[in-house]
Amino acid sequence: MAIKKFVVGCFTDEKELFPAVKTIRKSGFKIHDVYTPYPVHGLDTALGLRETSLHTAGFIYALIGLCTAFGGIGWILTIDWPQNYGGKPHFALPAWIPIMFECTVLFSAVGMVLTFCYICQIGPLVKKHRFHLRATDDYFVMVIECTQQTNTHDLEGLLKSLGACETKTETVESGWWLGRYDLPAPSVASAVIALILITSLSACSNGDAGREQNRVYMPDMAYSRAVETYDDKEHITNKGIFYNAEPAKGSIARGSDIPFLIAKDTPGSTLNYLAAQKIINPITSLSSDDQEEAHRLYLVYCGICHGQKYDGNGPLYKDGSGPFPAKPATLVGDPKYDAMPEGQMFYSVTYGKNLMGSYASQLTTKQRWMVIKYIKMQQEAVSKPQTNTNSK
Amino acid sequence: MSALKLHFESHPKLIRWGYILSIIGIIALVAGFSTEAFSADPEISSHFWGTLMYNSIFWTLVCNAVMFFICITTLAMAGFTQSFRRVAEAISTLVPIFGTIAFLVLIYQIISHNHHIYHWLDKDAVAHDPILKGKSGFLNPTFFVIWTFLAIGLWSFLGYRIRKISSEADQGPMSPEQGKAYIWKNTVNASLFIVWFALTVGSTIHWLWTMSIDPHWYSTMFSWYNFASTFVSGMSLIAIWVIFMKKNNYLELTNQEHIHDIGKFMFGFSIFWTYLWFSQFMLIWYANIPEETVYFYHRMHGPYKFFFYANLVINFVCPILILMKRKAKRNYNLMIFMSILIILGHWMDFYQEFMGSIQKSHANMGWLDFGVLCFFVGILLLGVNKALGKKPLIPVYHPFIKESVIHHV
Repeated sequence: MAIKKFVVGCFTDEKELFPAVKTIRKSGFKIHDVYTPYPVHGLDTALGLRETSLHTAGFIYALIGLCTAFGGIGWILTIDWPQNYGGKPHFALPAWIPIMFECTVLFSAVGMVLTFCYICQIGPLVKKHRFHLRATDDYFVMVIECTQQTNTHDLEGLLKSLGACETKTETVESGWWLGRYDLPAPSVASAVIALILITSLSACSNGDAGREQNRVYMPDMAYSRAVETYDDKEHITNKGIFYNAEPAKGSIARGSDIPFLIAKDTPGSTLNYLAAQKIINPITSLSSDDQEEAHRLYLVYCGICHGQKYDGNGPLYKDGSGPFPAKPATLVGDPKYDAMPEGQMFYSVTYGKNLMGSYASQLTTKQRWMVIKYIKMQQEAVSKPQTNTNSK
Repeated sequence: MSALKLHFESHPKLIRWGYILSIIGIIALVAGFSTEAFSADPEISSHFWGTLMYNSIFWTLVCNAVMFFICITTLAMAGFTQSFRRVAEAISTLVPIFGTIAFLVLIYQIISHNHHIYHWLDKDAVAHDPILKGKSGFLNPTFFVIWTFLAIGLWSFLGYRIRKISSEADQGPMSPEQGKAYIWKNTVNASLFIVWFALTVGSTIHWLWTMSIDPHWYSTMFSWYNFASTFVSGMSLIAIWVIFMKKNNYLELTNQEHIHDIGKFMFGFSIFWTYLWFSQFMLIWYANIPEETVYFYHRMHGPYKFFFYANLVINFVCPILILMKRKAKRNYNLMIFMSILIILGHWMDFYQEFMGSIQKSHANMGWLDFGVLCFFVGILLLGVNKALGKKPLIPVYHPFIKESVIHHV
């Protein structure tokens, strides 16, 4: 271990310190540091210290925090353990931002504090060499690093002439004189860190073992006292509490269509039939598969009367020779039906109209709307090509 | 201090550009006025009036935010602002001018019953709408007109008072007692302004002018969010003008230290703006209630998608990354660039706020928007140029002027 020599000069007043620092630097000596009882404004500039890069470190810690939070939440919630929270997408970025922000700030703050402690050599197990104890009280202690050429006696004289009240020469063993961590300290610290890392890594990499339920730490949360949706209701009904597990009136099951709320007319009235005009078809377009399906349904349920060609001339009517006495409606080509609102058609299919019966039990709500859309598409297909040829 | 350049010579470049921009603006205004303002199609006429509304309101509030800056620094007994406060004062002289334009545009909407922009002006609709009926104590033409008049009038009046008191610091040296009395006088008047500012910009005025375009929707963050928008733009405007003056060898007592502090305001309030933006957005996004999401749906997924994301990039990502470093805040050219970017960013924020509600189906930022922007910038250049020449540039006898001289960060 190398031995270094330092000349120490103590000042009692800032006013003497500043010119002394200037003179010493001008004379070509290297000032190791100036220890003061309190932060002295402008001393860093006088000593020619470079600007700290602590804030750059803070920025990097912040980025690490941001990435840790984003990576952690992102991996857990989209890959490892995706769950449905309130119907939100698994990649619910806005909801993560508060946590990402907190981690950013936390990493940055803690990281900067630790870095600051490291740079200043503050912390447990750190042995710091003190050049003069009164630097913590009332002395401004200037420490000058000596080279082999330095005449310590002359230097001490120079310091005295600059106003130093006390001077001395010290030899300090390098390695810990700056306040480096003592040998046992880093090994203890690294052992602790390694232990933590190994434990946490082994906990993570233990396959599915970590997922087994061993102990319940919070029984109130694990075993709900509230009635859960799919619980056995017996223990409630046994107590004489009325509970029927049916959904509230008017609930609509997931994935099902909005119900058709218009009731059937009383005989002789057309009030609801006309009101149905305002109902809009929830199906706005049909894919080619849907069209095929709608066409099939049409042929099965409608075509027998309304005809394969939507002309009202199905097998049951057959130009009047069929068993059916009245001509069914011409769905395509008759202005009345071309203009008929889809909601009204839906009413007729659902409740029946004139001689036509209800098809509500044969076709689901969605199928009925599909067939109606399909008919409307056929009507448009007939009326549109004409306008197209006109425009050409 | 006799060597200081206290008198501002009217700057020929400013005047030239002021006239060029305002003439471009007037041409755009006339073109818009003749083709759109009285169109039978409410979509088209609302496009014109909406554009005029958001521009006039934005520039009024930005100049007013500059006066707010003077007042808060007065209340905080800040010294560092004194060396460049006359520049801020000059910008704030535009409040009555822009305020009058905004007032006329807003009052015209009320008089012409433009319920395409302000749906709550439609009496029949309000009578059959329990939500609008419930709000009618606040959202009614009488209150709107009175409150708008009072807001703009008192901003102008109180601002005028503060500028007038500021001139007393030019007359002669003050004794410590006189100085104390002078600071106290400043404090009282600044407090009055702040109170009125809180009652208007801090709360009601954005609900009244902007949020009532979507009268069924509401957000309690809305006014603060808009305040942050205008305040950060106001700080940027101060930065541009102070650096402009520095580059023309004025304001000898102002240096990088002061610009650094203005830069901190720009940086900090850009993040404050984002904080409010996000607080408003995240709650609505998470709760997912149709009454609330209606405000964001077409902005996020519809024609305003570009502005929605550009808003965040320009007003948050750019300031936080570019202005973070100490050196950036002390670099005059970079500060000018960032100031212009921030002002345009928040101008665009106002655009999407107004036009995104007035014409939901399409976004067409075009010649009219930029033309009207030119008009206001032109007036700003001419107005500030004129106001700067009226007073000494530095209040040399202000009790805090020394703090500004030795300011060091």
